[in-house]
Amino acid sequence: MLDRAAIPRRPSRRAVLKGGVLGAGALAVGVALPRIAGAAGGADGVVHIGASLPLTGPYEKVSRICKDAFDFWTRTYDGKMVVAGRERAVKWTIYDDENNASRAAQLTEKLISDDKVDLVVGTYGTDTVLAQGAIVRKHGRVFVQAGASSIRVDEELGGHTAFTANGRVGTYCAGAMDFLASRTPKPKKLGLVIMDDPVYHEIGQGVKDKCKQHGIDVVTEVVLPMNVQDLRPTALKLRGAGQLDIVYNTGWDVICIKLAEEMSAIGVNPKAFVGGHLTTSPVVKETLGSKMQGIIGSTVWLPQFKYRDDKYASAQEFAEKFKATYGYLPTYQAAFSYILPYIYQQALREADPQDPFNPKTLRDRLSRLDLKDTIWGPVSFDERGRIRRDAAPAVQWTGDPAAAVIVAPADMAESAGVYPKPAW
Amino acid sequence: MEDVLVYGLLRGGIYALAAFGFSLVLGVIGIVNFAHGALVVFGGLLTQYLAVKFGVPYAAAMIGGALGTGLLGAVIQRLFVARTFTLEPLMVLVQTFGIATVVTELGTLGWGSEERMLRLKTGLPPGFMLGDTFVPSFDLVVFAVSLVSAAVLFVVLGRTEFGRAIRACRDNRESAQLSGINLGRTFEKTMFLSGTWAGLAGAMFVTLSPVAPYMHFSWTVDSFLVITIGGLGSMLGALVGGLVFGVLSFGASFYAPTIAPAITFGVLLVFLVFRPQGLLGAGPAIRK
Amino acid sequence: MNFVSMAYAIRTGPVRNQLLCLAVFLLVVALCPLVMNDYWLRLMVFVFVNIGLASSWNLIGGFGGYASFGHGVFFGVGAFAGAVGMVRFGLPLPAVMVIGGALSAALAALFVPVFRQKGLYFALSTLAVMLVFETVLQRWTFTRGLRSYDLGWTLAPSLPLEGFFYLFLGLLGLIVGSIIVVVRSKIGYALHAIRKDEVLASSIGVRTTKYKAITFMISAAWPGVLGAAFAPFLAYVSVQSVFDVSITLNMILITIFGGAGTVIGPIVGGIALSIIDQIAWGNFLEYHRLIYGALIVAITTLHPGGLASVFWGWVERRRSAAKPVPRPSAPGHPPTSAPRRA
Repeated sequence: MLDRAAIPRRPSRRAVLKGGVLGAGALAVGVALPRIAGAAGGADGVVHIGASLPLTGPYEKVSRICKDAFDFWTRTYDGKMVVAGRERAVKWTIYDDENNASRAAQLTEKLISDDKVDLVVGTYGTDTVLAQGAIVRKHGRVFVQAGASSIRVDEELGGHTAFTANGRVGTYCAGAMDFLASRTPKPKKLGLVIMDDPVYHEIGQGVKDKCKQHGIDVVTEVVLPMNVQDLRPTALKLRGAGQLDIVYNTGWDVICIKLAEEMSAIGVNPKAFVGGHLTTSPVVKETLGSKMQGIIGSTVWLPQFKYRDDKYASAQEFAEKFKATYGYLPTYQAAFSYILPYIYQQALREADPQDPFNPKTLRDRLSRLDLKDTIWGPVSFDERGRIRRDAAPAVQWTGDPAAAVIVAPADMAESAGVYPKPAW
Repeated sequence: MEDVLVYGLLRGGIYALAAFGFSLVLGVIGIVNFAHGALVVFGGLLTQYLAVKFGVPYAAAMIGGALGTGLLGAVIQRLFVARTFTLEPLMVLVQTFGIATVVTELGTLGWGSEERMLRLKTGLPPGFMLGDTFVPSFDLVVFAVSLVSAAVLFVVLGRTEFGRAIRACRDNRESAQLSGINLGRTFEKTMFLSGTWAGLAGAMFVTLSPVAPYMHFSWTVDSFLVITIGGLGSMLGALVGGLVFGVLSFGASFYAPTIAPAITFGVLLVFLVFRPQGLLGAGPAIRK
Repeated sequence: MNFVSMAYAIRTGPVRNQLLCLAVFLLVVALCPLVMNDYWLRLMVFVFVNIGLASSWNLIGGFGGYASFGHGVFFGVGAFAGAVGMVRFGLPLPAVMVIGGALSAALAALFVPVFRQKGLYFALSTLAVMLVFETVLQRWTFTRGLRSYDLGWTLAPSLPLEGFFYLFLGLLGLIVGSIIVVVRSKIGYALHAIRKDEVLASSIGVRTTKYKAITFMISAAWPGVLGAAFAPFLAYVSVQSVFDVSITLNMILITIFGGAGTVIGPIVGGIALSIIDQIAWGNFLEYHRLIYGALIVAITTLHPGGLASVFWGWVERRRSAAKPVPRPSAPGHPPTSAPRRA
């Protein structure tokens, strides 16, 4: 029917108006309903902590670890936090930001203006933390985070809005590179694999700086798109670069697994393979099995570290208790997630009972914070709100089944390390 | 150059394997199955699960994984697609996208979200030199199995009563029904076959590279690419398309890794504009 | 006059009444900031953008029957136009919105050769174009970022939240208004003919390519405008955030959920899915994806015409129950059931 339809009955203007009002009313009710249902209060005697995590998507595994660690902290303190000298019950609200920056912003807005949380802890991922920070900043609030270590956090939010409990990513390679540079014969050639995203370029820049310092040549540098599937072309590129002494992967755990698999499949045998900052993820060891032998990883925390706090006599004890509860050994993400509410607890212990969560005083308290003993090591922040810490120790997997031992820096080392590593 | 070709072809075998079912369903039922990638991943994880959890030998686990995936495909057809395949293609796209989400989420709930891999001890030498190229022997085995299973599929489609029914439904639905073929049953069988081969692809891939539920979408897109290059709805096209796509994507990621996606999709566009029937396509008959 | 006959009257009545209805709706929604806090305003902005995008998609995908699977490219190009224009050249927001819309429309014009393809091929071509652009914008130093190592753009929000609320509400009004007008114009009737049977349409003298191109350009220009306006709202624009496949998928899901090929469909779908999303997020953290997926499967399997068809089916039943004399089916062309394949 292409012709203009005959009009059966002309509706009165009133009817049209009525229709519009009804439609809009339906919208308003629809929007208001969940609001009423989800109403929660910053009731007295309760500390309401809000967070979002990328619970679905590529960071799913890591964020589950973070979530477990939040829970572990809550269990450790029996669900209570001492604020302004008074014990209060802890209440968590956690959402899934799907590693999507606009979702993270929206959820942070929800946490602050709708759920009215007292404290916000940061999510995991650079873009999402920056998006979150923009909202926190708009409200003039403060948050502690460890999920984004890029220098951009310092530039855009550091010191006034964000307090970052993790060291700069540019320093991630320090332990591993210092360790390798001290080996004999001294490594000369390095192949670098960088993911095409600012934070990975930052890690890569750190590696290049260390190479310059130690006189190592970066003979090949492969930049990969974030959605890369097949790592064999990369392995072939590395093969084409001749005998490499070191292959350094800046990417995450899956990239590390795939790169190791493909290098071993086509016979690329560098004298050392540095798997990057997520080599300690349980999935890497499980998947690579015996190929784990000799792989080096950088990590900012391990149960072997000589750290302690008021509840655990050692990081080892912390790790064992954690494993008994959740069935796996905590990674450094578990430790830095555990430390986020812990930092708040320490900062708020002696807050003003009248207005304990006042952003201005909280900011001052956080910047003055100086904790010697925590599960995460000494905690104090510089003027950009960054934890004072400048090197990530290196670990190496040795023995059968492979176990991680610290090989650098020298004062923490448990073993002399293996170089060159056995062939795949 | 030569190594790019060899490695590309080796990968192409698995791409072709994954694309057979996609192509079959598109040709016969006339739908684009967005859940196809989820089937591939499901097959891989099921195989891994059978092998690791119950200690089933790999060959049996692979067959179990493939048949299990086929069954899942048939269930999807009977419960969902059977009701919608006569509607606009878009409806089925959205529906199967929803199914992919559900399968992926259920898989995550059951198996967890971490990447899994199945390591086999084949006792083979690690590989051999072909000219200057090191060919991993296990890759070659997987490639050979791909070709053999492709041959099996050709025989099933070309030589059996079941295959004849499927082809009849593809070529002319009405006259197939008139000659007593049960359309619904045939479509379920088609989906079973499609799922089985998708599962097979997953079962093989899981021995080469880690697989996790969230990876399903790239398998769907890759299958799409393969059959666009090879030709929609043609089995031989899917095989050729898979091999060509293997070389193309390997070459792109080797020579220009940062813009590799733009190159592969650019080639796809060229095909779509200048040769929409693909290299070996059946022509406009199935262009819906 | 009861609700049923009123709804029916608005649907079949002249364009003027539909526009009036839209205006009333917008006015009521415009009062929201009086009672809503920042979170709800921000959420409403997202709902407006989603509905605006879905409505634009609906024009070519629903009314025209050409499902674009890469419609996100227009939003992404718009967002990059906004980011690059505002940061690199210091242009004001209205200027980048115009540029974003124009760039997207120009990009859509390049699709004319692809219009020879139907259905799947068209879907695939648009998807391929989106993936090509995603990579190009990420690698090209002009669009990559301000400094060489940057990837993405940081923008200062140029309006307060209420400002964005009214900006997007206004844009939504313009988009839906333009669609109401287009659907009842010569273009709309041509689209209807094309969707039913393209060969027949061209044989009776409908210049199909021309109308398809015009429609596609309109349906591409709006996402471009929305994208450019969205850039300062998002504050940080990168390929990962504005070229996400989920943006395109959302346009399609919202349209189908509400009812493809109807003006009201994307509006209803956008609101309904947002509510579901909110509830699922708040209460079923681990299962919200599953719930979302299951809903999509349920609606496409049971009611492929979407919520709109459920509603109109109900209206039709009420009308036929009220009148013993059977009437011919609804004039005008919003289909009451899912469109069958031609």
